[in-house]
Amino acid sequence: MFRQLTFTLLILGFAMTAATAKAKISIFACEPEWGALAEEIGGDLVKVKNGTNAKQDAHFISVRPSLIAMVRKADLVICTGADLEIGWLPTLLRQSGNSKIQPGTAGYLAAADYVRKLEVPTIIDRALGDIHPQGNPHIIGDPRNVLIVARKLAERLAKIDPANRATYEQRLARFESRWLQAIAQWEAAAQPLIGLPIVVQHKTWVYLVEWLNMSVVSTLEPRPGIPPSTSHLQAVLKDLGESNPKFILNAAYENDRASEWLSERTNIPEITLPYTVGGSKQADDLFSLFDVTIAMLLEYAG
Amino acid sequence: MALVALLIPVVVSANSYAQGGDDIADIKAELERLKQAYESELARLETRLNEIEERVAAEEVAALEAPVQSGGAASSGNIFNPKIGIVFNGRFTSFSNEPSDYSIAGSPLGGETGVGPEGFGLGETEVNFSSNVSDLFYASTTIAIDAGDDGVEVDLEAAFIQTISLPAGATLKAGRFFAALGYLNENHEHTDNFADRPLPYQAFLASQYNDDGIQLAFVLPTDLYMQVGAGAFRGADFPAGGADNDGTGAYTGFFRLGGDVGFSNSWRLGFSVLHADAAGRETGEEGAPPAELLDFSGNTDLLIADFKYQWSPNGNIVERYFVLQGEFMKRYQDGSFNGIPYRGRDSGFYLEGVYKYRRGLRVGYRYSQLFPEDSLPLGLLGTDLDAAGINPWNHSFMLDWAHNEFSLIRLQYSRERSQLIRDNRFYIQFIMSIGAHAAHTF
Repeated sequence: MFRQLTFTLLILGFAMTAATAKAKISIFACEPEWGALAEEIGGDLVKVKNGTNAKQDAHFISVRPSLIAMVRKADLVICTGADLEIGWLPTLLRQSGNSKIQPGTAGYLAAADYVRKLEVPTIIDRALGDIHPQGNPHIIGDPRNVLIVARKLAERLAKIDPANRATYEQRLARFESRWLQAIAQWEAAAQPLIGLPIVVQHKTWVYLVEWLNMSVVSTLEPRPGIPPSTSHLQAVLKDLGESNPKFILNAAYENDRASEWLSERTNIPEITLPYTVGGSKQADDLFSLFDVTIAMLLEYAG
Repeated sequence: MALVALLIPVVVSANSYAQGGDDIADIKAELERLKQAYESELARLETRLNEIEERVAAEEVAALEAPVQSGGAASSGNIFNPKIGIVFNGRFTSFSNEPSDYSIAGSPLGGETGVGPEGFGLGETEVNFSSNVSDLFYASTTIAIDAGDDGVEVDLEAAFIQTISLPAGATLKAGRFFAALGYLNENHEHTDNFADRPLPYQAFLASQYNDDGIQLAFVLPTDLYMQVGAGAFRGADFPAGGADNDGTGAYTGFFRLGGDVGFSNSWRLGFSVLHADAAGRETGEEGAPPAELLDFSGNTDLLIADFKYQWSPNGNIVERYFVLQGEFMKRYQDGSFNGIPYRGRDSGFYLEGVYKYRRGLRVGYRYSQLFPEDSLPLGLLGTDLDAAGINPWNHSFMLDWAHNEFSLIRLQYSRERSQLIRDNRFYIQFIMSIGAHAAHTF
């Protein structure tokens, strides 16, 4: 009886698989920034699903059934890479049973593979915390990285969906022009931030800091991924000395306990940046993400 | 005259108005022309500025592209080493009952079922190697080393290959692995929320069903997660035994579904069956009194329903989450114990809740219970099959702390009534892993 039941279920599985027909290119984005980018480049030709939201730490995601279902149907998976999703993506891809999006295929795009990475460690030891052997994965901090990824994404979309190659190229060209303009404007607006002394909570901001030429005088997390102890914070407080930082940065998905601790004792304001698309109400696409970020930084730069 | 005098200025002014009107039109036209010229110049300059800005930004962008690697590291033969992960599982335990007398009323136990040795002990140390084999296959093996009082035991816990590029969402697994049954069976014990497995797993699966065979599964292309699959196994592990039927003695089938409700809630529901044939499967320790030695020949059908629900604020599991998880198992046995015909059914369940109340700290409670068959043939009264009116139960409380995701220290207290005398158990356990990053399973 059980054998029959199982057999019936298997047949059912085949039938449902065969019955699917799809019109749009289905994209699974590990993080909302890549989902937003996929919408910029793919427009109406794609259907995007984000695996995480801006309130989640993309490092700590479990392979939930909903994610397996999303990846099962994807034609393209776009993720940050650089081991940010090491705890869940490899298992997720394997469990999805989807051959189109396995690493090495056109359907798997790891953004960080194509940009120059900062903080590539020379000593790789977990005693140093949650370090990433390939470099810091928070590449979304620098909008110039986004363009590099956009070009790769357009290339991949054209490969997966050759019939619409021209549309992807057009959309990329339009995005590229708008994005370069926007970068120039952000850079011009961010002049007052150059050399500004700041404190960061986690090493989330290296790319942003490097892009805008700010100067990090202290990092609250002594080892990435391990929350600071009070004694460490006290040491940070002492070391601040005359550096006079303007603000403390943390991300919408992080617990801001450490920032709050320091802010209360020093009156240095704490800024919670959206970090990615959806991290604040105004940051609802890639353009507004950086608009909001720059505006928030400028507000406290004074 | 006075009227003329009055009119003149009017006429003159009207005249001059007419003349001024022409001038205004001219000036307006001139202004418009200048404006247009100015605007087009402005637009031209703006476009140029934009072009320059774009170029500058584009140059900046170009500088940030990852260098294309030419060549690559000279191959020294070890560059394709598989991922290696080692899990340490040390413990200190204290039991009020003698652990070597462990039994569960009404359930003859499979080999290796028990609570483990008392005192300081190093449970199994697991070494895992895994890697893709090709574009078609992935392979993984887990070797468990147990250096206890009985000497060093090396057990091949898993050694399987798995396809990664079959069409239609299919995955085929072959080799030795933990079959997809219920919720816990597929997971390694070190990923559990408690230091031991709940009663139904102990009694019905000898803590885990692990066998040689194949398993085919499909993830259906639906918005709701649905997976359906089946397996065929050698039938060498409890509740099968004796590798009956020319080494194809066990079959499984499973169906799972799951999804999210909003960002904060996730769930999974599963139904699975195990059909196992046994021929002369022996239970009970060697040298035990005859009443504890039972051999079983016949069929076991095990039906399992499992669920898991998880809540976390916005789906962020770093700071806080709550998990509620449970399984219900029903077992049908048809055959003979020690040659005495037996047909019976028993069941059991567990329900556990785990709350992560701040980063790294969790508390949990689990209740499990069994409902043994109470009508036995006369010849089997007084054996391990005879529950003597006991419906075994277990309460477990745990508290664990994880400094990071690779290290965990757990305290657990359990009170169990699986025998006449209640057992109080106390565990201190550490689970640490080095090497390859373990997966965050749901």
